[in-house]
Amino acid sequence: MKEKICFTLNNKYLSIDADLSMRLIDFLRDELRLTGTKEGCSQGECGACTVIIDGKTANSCLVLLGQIEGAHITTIEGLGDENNIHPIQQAFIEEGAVQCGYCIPGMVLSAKALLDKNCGPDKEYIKRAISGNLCRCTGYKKIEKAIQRASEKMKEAENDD
Amino acid sequence: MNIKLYKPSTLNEAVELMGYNDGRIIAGGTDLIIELRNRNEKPSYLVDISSLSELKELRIEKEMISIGSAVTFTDIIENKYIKEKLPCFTDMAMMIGAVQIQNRATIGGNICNAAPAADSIPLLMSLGAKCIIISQRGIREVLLANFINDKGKVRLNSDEILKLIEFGSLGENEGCGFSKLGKRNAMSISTISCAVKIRLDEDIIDNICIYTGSLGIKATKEEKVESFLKGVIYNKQNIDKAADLLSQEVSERLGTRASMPYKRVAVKTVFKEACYSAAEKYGNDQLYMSGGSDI
Amino acid sequence: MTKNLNTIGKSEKRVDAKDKVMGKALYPGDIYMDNMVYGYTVRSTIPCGEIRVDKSQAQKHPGVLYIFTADDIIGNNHHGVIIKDQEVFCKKKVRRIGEPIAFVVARSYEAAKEAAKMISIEFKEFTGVFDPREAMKDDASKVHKGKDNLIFHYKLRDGNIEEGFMNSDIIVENNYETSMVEHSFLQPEAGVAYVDEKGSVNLIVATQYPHYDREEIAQALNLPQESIRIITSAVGGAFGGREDITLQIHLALASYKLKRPVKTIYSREESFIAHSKRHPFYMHYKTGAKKDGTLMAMEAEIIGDAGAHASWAINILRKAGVHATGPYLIPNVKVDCYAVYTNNPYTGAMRGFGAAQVPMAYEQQIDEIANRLNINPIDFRLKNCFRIGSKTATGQIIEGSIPLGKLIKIAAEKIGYNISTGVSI
Repeated sequence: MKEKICFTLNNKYLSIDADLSMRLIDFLRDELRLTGTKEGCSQGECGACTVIIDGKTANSCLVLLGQIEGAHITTIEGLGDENNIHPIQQAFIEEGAVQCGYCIPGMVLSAKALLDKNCGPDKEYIKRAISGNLCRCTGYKKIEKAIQRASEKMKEAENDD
Repeated sequence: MNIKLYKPSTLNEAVELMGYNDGRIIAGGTDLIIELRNRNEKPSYLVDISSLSELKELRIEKEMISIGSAVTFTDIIENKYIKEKLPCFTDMAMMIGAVQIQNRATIGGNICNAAPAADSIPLLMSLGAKCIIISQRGIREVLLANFINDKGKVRLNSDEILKLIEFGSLGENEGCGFSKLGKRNAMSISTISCAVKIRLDEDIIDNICIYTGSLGIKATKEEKVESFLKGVIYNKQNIDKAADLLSQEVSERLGTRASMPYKRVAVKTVFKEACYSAAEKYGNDQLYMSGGSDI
Repeated sequence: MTKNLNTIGKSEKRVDAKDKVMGKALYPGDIYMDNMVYGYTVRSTIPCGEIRVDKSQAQKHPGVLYIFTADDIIGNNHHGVIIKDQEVFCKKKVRRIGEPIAFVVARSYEAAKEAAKMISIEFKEFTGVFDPREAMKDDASKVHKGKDNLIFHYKLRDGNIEEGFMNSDIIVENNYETSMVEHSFLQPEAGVAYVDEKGSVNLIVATQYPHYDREEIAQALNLPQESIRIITSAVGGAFGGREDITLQIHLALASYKLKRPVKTIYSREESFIAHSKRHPFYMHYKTGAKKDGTLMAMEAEIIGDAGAHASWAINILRKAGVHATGPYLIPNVKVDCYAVYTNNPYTGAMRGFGAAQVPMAYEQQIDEIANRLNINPIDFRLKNCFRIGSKTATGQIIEGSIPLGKLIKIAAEKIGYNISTGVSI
């Protein structure tokens, strides 16, 4: 039962035919092979499948494809590329905030949604922003530090402009 | 999932769609999608109301606050007026799931899913909220307290849509508080929740409304505790007594359940926290002076 | 001293960090291949009993390619890191909830799951044994036929325990229990197996033991190890939970037989059911000390619930025994550790590997003795903790670094406790 749907994915306008009752995560992974979005629990507990929908984070395991008609979606593939890595991604590398890495795409996107709205968040804001992203390897400290570092770098870059 | 998904562009269209058989409404989807995946039978079609502007209105008037059923918890958190006038509502919204859930989950969904642990329900009940329900047959009103039927069940016919929830604004001498006990800060389903609306005449409790959550199949009005507190002086001694009374109630209600010995004790602090926060604007000086708060 | 070191004291960036932050690192679930089919595991729903499997109806499902059961294992149907007591597919008996019975391979996940429901399994349930203390008794039902439930007994003796207690002014005796713990690594088990142009079976999987996996697959498929290749992809967390085999043999077998790439991803629920847990311990501790706070004797009996398979139970209970005294000098020690089969979910490696459970007992013993002797627990620990030259109960002389005393002092200062006066500020 395929139907038409249009939306913008990582700044690219898409118009496709698909089963609108399929979960957004399945569409991203199985249809588009954008496998940076991870599935960890399938019930909105772990945040590994986090994407940004119109500036707000969402668990893509709890969104149906049909619900994103006309929306702007950002997945981890829509951030930096090989030669032009996003400052949040760079900060995660530099702070050693990455271990097994499975939570990281979701974590980076939660950080992005936060920093897009609030360029100098304090620790409590950072903690709240990533409270829906579980990491089983780290103690979150380095992740918090990385987000702090990214916010400083992004502010510096803004001031340079 | 191979289910037909309709995306009506107006509320009228949505109402019309629900007039056919065996459709289900999807709003935020944070409960429904899990349920659909776990279940064998599927509805014949889904009607997505999550982006209907008529259901996303949050209207704040002098006497009345009305919240459209598709308003998300993030919409509530970001509303400055609610934060100022009804901070307990903001607090409650911030305790639901985590940011990702708050961004999608709707107040209407939280009510219609009617989980015993739903956070918004005791608070809205204590505020005396009404549900405005729409169908092709017209519009009807029902008190939220009467709308929730049972665990996971509401008095909503298959052709009806919950349109909005409304409740009176707090008066000059009124306050409202909400407290939740969960296993952790974020992503926590409440173990016990409690909402208190209180009206004080000087230091006398003129009126009080208490609802608890997660202590039964649905949010419960604690009438015994209310009648004990009505007309007495608002002080630590009386609140402590009321907490003991509530504890007794809870142990009887939960009977032989494994959680009883824990909840019986924990409910006291959750209740006191909600009480103190409800009366916060009058200052709790007298409470703290007379031995201090134990929370 | 450290100023000339090039590496120590400096942080290196992870080699795979960039791929991971970009979402490019490939975990087994991220692999898609042409012509790929999907596998779904059918598991025991009872903890103890006999089964009769009839797959004939399910085999007729239009999406199904093949349903694998114990009958399809030409080689060894048993595997396990130390003791081969896990079946690739249960043949006759099931010993725990979640033991694999069949592996349905179909053109889609949905089809595989649907067909799985059509497999008829007749369960004849027996009374199982769920408490390792009961399982140790002679008349307890046996988890593995013809095999004692006691897997391993570790004994540690140092000094003279009777004398130790005789010379103690105070003896504290308590029971402690710890619970089962789930690893909850963030990426549930997943893998893809395929046969390459040389006919070798390749398996892309997140595993902690590629070399064990290879050996076990070779034995089950009756193939030389050279025809099996394990490719360890990015591993989405493990914490010990990927030390035992879960889907490896199933995938290898299916791809070898069907000559097509086969993929499986466990759901979170299946992951919970499929892999090991931390051993619950039942601990009895008896500790004696002199009035002045000198530890004199410690006797401990530690029973570990191995569940239905031994996995690393031997090593874990041994380690628990070695660490049973904690970092404290005790001249007279008697420790007995037992690893015991039950029909519970099986237990295995998890962060700490047996050393994580015992502190709950020995540290509380220390607190209680200190409390009863009216000595501050910090002073009490400082008085008895290992130093350079200390001999442990296993006879090891500590020669290297043991900064415990120093750390206790730093921690004490940070919580506002003044060591020299013994008063907290």
